[in-house]
Amino acid sequence: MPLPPELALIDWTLVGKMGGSLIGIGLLYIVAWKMGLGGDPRIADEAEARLLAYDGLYGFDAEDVALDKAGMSALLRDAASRHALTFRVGNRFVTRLVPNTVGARLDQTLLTINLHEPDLPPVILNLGDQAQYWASGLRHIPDA
Amino acid sequence: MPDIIAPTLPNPVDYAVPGFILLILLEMIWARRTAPEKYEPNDTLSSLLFGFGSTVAGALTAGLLGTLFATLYQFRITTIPFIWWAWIACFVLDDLAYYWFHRAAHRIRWMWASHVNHHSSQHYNLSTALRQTWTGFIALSFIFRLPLLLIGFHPAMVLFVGGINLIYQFWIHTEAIGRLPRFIEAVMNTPSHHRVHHGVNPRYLDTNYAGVFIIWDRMFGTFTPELDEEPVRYGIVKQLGGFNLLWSVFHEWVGIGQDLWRAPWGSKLGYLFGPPGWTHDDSRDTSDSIKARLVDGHEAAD
Repeated sequence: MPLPPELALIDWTLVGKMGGSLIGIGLLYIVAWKMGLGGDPRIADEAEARLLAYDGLYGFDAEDVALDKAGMSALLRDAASRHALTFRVGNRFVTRLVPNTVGARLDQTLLTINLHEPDLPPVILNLGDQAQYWASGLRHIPDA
Repeated sequence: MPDIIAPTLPNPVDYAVPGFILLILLEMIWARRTAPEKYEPNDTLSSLLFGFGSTVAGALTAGLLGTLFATLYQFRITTIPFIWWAWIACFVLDDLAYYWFHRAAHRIRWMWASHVNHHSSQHYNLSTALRQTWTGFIALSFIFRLPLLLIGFHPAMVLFVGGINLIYQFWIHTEAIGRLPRFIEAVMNTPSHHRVHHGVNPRYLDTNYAGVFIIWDRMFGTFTPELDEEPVRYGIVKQLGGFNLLWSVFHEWVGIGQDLWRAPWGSKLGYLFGPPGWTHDDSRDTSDSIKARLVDGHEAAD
């Protein structure tokens, strides 16, 4: 039986390929997840945080480092009072220079930093009793 | 100019897709046994959706591209028949064209805005190979193939060998293979050479542009070997902050728009066609400035 005219306009082979591709993509994602790929890396110590910031910002030379208690992120400062924020994305780490327009909120030991990037939610660091000190530092970042 | 009857050629990539999926599965099993951190499920999903979107974008622009190719072919200087040596010549010249496309795609921001998609993962595995752009047509990626049509290679042949080139480049996106025998590493693009190309280490930035034959990089001075003492870190100079697919696809285009809006009139073209990272006030890094500071500077100090 011939297809109705509106359905005959559709390239069903292409639709089949696209559908098959989406199913394959979903299956590969599930397999990767079920296999436990990725792991749960943390920033082990200040030295690793310095290295991540140095590599991520091509030469950021941190003088002072505050590690998140869980090792998920770190806040660093160099000799010029520039601040760098290192945080985890997936199972890799990313570092950004913190602008002086940053949104920062202090709640006891938790310092929340919002870099206002479209794909980046606010980063929450548990800095213990250093949180207030670093929150103050964020208010004195020099102009870029 | 005599017309020739072109054979009906399939898209070879269509036939390769099941093999791609199988090899990704095998690499995942390898990763699970040896280094689970080589894969990350969200990154893999993101890469695969890039590939899917790229296929859709390719289908949407195929008609335009086909018309352009057929039109230009009418102005060819000779007619090259479908015989064995023509296939080899077309494949090699297409790979040379790919080298220059790829080099331009890293050095001209308009083209980088599209090609950045392929580099924006911090992982390097077979799923990264499928992380293809959605905006290649807008970035004019096809223009480097046009001389082949003007020489006289049939559009069907050019597209077919381009597909073979793409298939070749799939398997080199892996850390599961170390180095191959010296004679292969000397001539062919290999996992080792291409790992360097995906590196963000200052020394590795903007090197090893080859598709199939690494000889182009050796000839044109852009070859850098993989060093055991400097493990490759992957991704882009300003790494993505998340897995938002649409932002990942379009972020550099958005950046171009924002820079054009803010830039002084005399600098606007630089933000379009200058190297990625170029600014009129040198407020950002380019790969050249990074290398000058961290590679050449260190070597000078040594």
